[in-house]
Amino acid sequence: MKKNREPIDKLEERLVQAYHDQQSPVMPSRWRWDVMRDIRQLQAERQRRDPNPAPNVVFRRMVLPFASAAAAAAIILTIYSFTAVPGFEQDLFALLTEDTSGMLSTQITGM
Amino acid sequence: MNDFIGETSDWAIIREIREGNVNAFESLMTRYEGHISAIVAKHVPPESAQEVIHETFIRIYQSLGNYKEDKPFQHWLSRIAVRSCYDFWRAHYKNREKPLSAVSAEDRQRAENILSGYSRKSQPDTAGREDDIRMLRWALDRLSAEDRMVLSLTCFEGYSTAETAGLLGWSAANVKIRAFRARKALRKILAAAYGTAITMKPGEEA
Repeated sequence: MKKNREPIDKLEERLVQAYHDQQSPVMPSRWRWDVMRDIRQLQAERQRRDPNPAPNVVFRRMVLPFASAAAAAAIILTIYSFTAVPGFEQDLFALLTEDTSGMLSTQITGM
Repeated sequence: MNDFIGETSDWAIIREIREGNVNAFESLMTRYEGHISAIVAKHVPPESAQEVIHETFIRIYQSLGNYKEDKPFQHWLSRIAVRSCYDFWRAHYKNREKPLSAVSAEDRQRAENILSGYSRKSQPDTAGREDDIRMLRWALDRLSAEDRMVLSLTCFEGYSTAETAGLLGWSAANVKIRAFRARKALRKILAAAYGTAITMKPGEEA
C-alpha cells in the first residue's frame, strides 16, 4: 500500500519544488511609466469629482509653509522691542513681578 | 515599516502621496517592485504577470488612504498582491470556454516523464525543471480559483492557516477546509495523469 502511494508523493514533492523555481518576470523599461500615467489619470479624475481637499490637507498645505516665516518674524520683533525701546525689559520685569493681589484689592475698593 | 538610513521612510512617502504628490508613488514602486513581482510570478502565468503587477500597483495607490501606520507595510502590500492574483483567476475561470477535466495522453506522458526523471536523479536539470513547472501549471489549472490560491499559499509556500486567512480575507475555518479539499483534488488530478497505478490515501477516492 505504502509503495503504491510513493509515486504521487514524489510527484507532489516535485511540483512544490517547481512552484519555487518559477522566475519573476522581467518587466519592460516603460512599465513604471505606464503605471504612473494611470495613477495620474486617477488622481485627475478624483480631483474633478472632489475639488475640495480634506481640511487637514488644507491646513498642511496653507499653514505649515508659513509657520516658520511667522516664527522668524516674531523673534525679530521681540529682539527689536528689546533694543529699540530703552528700559523696556525693566518695565516688563516689573510688570511680571508686581503684586497683582494688591492691584486687585485697589481696583475692587476703588481706592 | 522600512526606515532606511538616509532614505525617506515608507510612511513619509505615503503621507506625501495622500497629500496629493502622486509622483512620490514612483519611489514606493521602485522599493517594492521585486516583492510584488515575486508574489505575482508564483500565482499567475508568466504571460499575465506584467498585467497583474500593473493592476496590483494601481490597487495599492487606490487603497493607500486605508493603510494604518501601525501595520507592517510589506504585509499590507502582500495582501493586495495575493488578492489581485485571486481576482485574476476568478476572471480567468469565468471567461474560460471549456472545462479542463479530461486528461490527455500528452498530460499522462508528461507525468510519467517527471516520475521517471525523479527516480534517476534527485535534482532535475533545466529541461526537467521546465517540465515540472508545466506540469504544475497544468495541474493547478484544473482546480478552482479558490482551491489553487489556498493550495499555493498553504501547501507550496507554507503559510499557516491564520496567515493565509489574513492574505485572502477569508475565515480560518474556510481556509482549513478549502486547503484540505484542494490538496485532495490535486492528488486526484495527479493520480489521473499518472494512470490508475497510484493508489490514493483513504478518503481521497471521492
